[in-house]
Amino acid sequence: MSALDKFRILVVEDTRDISDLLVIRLELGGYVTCVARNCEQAIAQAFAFKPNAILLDIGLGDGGDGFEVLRILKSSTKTSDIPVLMLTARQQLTDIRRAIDMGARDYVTKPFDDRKLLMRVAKLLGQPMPHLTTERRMML
Amino acid sequence: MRSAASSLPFSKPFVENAGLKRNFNRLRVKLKPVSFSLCPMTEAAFELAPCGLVVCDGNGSIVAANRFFREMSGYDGGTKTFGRCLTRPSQFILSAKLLPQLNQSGEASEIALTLNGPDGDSIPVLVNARHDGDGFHYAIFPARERREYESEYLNAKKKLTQYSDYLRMAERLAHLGHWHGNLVTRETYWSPETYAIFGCDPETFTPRIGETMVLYHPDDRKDILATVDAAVAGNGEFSFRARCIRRDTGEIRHIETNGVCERDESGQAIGLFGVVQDLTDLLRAQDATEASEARYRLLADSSNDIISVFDLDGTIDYVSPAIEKLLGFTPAEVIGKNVRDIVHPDDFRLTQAAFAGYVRSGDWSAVPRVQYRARHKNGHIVWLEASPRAMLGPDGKIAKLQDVVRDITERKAVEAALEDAMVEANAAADAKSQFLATMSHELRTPLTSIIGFSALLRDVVQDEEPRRFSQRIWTASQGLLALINDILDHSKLEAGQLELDIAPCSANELMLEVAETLEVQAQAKGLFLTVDTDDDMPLMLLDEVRMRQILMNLAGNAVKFTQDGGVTIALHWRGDRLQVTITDTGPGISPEGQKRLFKRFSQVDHTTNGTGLGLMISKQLVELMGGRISVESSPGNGSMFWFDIPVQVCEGDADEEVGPEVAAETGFILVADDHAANRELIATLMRSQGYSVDTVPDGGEALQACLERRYDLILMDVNMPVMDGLVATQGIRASCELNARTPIVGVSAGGESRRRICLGAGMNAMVEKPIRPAVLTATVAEWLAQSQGDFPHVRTG
Repeated sequence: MSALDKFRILVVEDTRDISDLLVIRLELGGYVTCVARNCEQAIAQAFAFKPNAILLDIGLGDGGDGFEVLRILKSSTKTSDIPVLMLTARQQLTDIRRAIDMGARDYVTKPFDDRKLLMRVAKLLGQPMPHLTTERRMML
Repeated sequence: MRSAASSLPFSKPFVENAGLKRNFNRLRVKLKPVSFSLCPMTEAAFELAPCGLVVCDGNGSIVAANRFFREMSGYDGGTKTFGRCLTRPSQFILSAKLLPQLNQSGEASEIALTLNGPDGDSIPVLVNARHDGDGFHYAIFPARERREYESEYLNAKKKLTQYSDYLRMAERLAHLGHWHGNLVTRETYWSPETYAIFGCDPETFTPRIGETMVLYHPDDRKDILATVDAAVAGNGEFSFRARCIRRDTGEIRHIETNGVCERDESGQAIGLFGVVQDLTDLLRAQDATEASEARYRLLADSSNDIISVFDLDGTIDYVSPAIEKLLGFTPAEVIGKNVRDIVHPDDFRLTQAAFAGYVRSGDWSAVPRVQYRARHKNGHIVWLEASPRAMLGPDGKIAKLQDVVRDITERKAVEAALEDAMVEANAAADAKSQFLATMSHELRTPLTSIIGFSALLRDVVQDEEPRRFSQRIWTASQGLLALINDILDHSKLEAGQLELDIAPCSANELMLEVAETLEVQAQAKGLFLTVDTDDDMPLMLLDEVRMRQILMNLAGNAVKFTQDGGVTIALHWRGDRLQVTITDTGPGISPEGQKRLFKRFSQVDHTTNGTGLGLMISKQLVELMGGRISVESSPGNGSMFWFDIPVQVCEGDADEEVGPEVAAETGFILVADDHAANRELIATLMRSQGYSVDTVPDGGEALQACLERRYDLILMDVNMPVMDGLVATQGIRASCELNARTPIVGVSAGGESRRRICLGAGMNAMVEKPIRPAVLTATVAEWLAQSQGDFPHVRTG
């Protein structure tokens, strides 16, 4: 599989450990990734990297807010169709409702189960469920 | 015949009449051929008698017949028998009955016969007859006329009796007697009621004029006599009130007499007529009314509450002096002004709406309490609470409002202090909860790394030992996560900040999913795990996440503590409740242990793992859902944990019921319900349909919201504190211009009768509680379509 054929995932995550973890997991899962650490980068990469899906944290380090990113993404025709999965440590119902209302397609709370997360990403992309065990063996 | 004629009293004046005399002469001429002669006076009497008179000879031939008979029968004076003047049946009666009787006894009376009339008609008559030596004498009366006279007489007599009965009845009902005194004979007549008024017995007491004075109070006698004497001497009319002493009981009663004096042609007084009435009861009632009015006035004057009466346009008719204590104005300063001048401008619209709602409701028993501010004469604000009541006019319609107004400034101050305290407490709780949320977030971020990297390590490392170690890190961090979650849930539950997220959910599927998760553990321990559910379990409105949490906790505990045998999970649908039992064959729990079981941070067995928060959180969650949870167990006999919760059922499919998540409809809906869970459920359902939603916890706030903005539809709970849904609806209809025509859908239990009440209050429809999402959304859509069809230009959303 060439890099061009692979799905591209934009990871918006300010915590280095977690973005690294996500990148490793997603690349092991066969995706191409790109990381944004704040709002500006996130918007810029959404246009430049042309991701097939976005994993979006809510609390971004520089005081930025994932909801704001989501609002901007949804307000532009170029990015409004990119499916967004919120990946956050916030688990209040109000946040979940707000995200769904604003157009997020899915919502996963941290800490996440890596297998489940990959299944949700696959679902987000309309892929068949990945056979994680075989794929992992293949990768390793 | 001769004797009968001589007894006629009117013979003289008749003969004196010249015209009649001529007739007699003619008659005499006619009668000449017959050998029948009478003296002229008798002849006239015979001729003019007001009944038919006939003289016949021994053969029955008519010898003489008077005018009455001739006119009656058409007999022309020719030769004819009496019998031939009769109809055939009467001829038979004459020959078979009358003649034999006359031959035998000489006389017969009131024999009913029928004459042939002059125009061929039949005339029923009564005949008196006599037979003497040489002839027959008949006196003939028209039967009909005589009967008519008789019946007229009887009727008149009956009427007279009836009138006298009526009079007596009228007298008795009016307590009005009448009397007459003859000043000449000194005799008196008293009507029965007069006797009753004076307590006299008509059998034993027959008063004469002058003797009646003893019946009056000695102090009043002189005045009475003077009054009557003045009337006799003057214009003849008199009237007096006096005390009388009842002859039977000796009781003093107050009477009033009105009378006139009768005079003869010369003007001499010959009689007195009067009507007399007992006024005692009336006077007493008047006194009582006056006393009660005085008491009411005393109450109104001395009450701390303002009592006021005002017109429907707000003009003040009356206000009690208490207003001076409360507002500094005297009643005189306020009477005639409008309530608008009293109520604080900021509160006027809401107050007016509440009053208007009451006036239009027509239900006077539901007295609303309306709180508003007023400005004291010297400027400060006074909080008042009004309880208006309708005063009905003679037509039964509301004419005015009577209002009792209470000073609630102090109460308001206490309420405000309490509210401040609540706000502070809530702020503290909010701060705590915010702290926990932050902490939880802060803990989760590093935990994400620990869990994620240990899992990664486990997956990528080939060597057995490092893999085992990384697995242990992973397991421990999972435990840490569960603990953090429990602490967070617990503190949210304690602070009452945990919200349920209710959505259609299959309890069966949920249970099977939980069982599947636990299956691995159970199998590893060699335990059986059985799930027993009803096949026809309906789709329910549940918080799936919290329900799973409870099931996982209870069933997980059961698997964890059971070493042999297994666990049975049973779900049953009980019409409106979901009942769950989890039975294990574990060690069982002692009664002391059961007591501690659901308490904070307590574990039956401290050797086992866990915080002991799980059961407590389960209990709090079940209670939040409105249900109960309990355990039945004894050491050595296993345990049975059970809980049941009230749940509402969805009919049909989940998708069909709640509709797509994508906004499909537009509309701005106000949801008024005092019950937070209901309010949230309705709001969630409405949002899921794509509507925008405002929520308020009572009718007062609903009314306020309706004054401020226009809604496309209002969902109104009926039973709410502060102001119920019916009153709020009336208020909205009466005075919220923005929403006067907005569809209002009542939400209430109570069936058809309640529905009528709702519609009567001005609602457009009612949906039954418990709420069925399909019905609610369909009703809302229907009424929205109607209202938006009506007013496309004001459509919002």
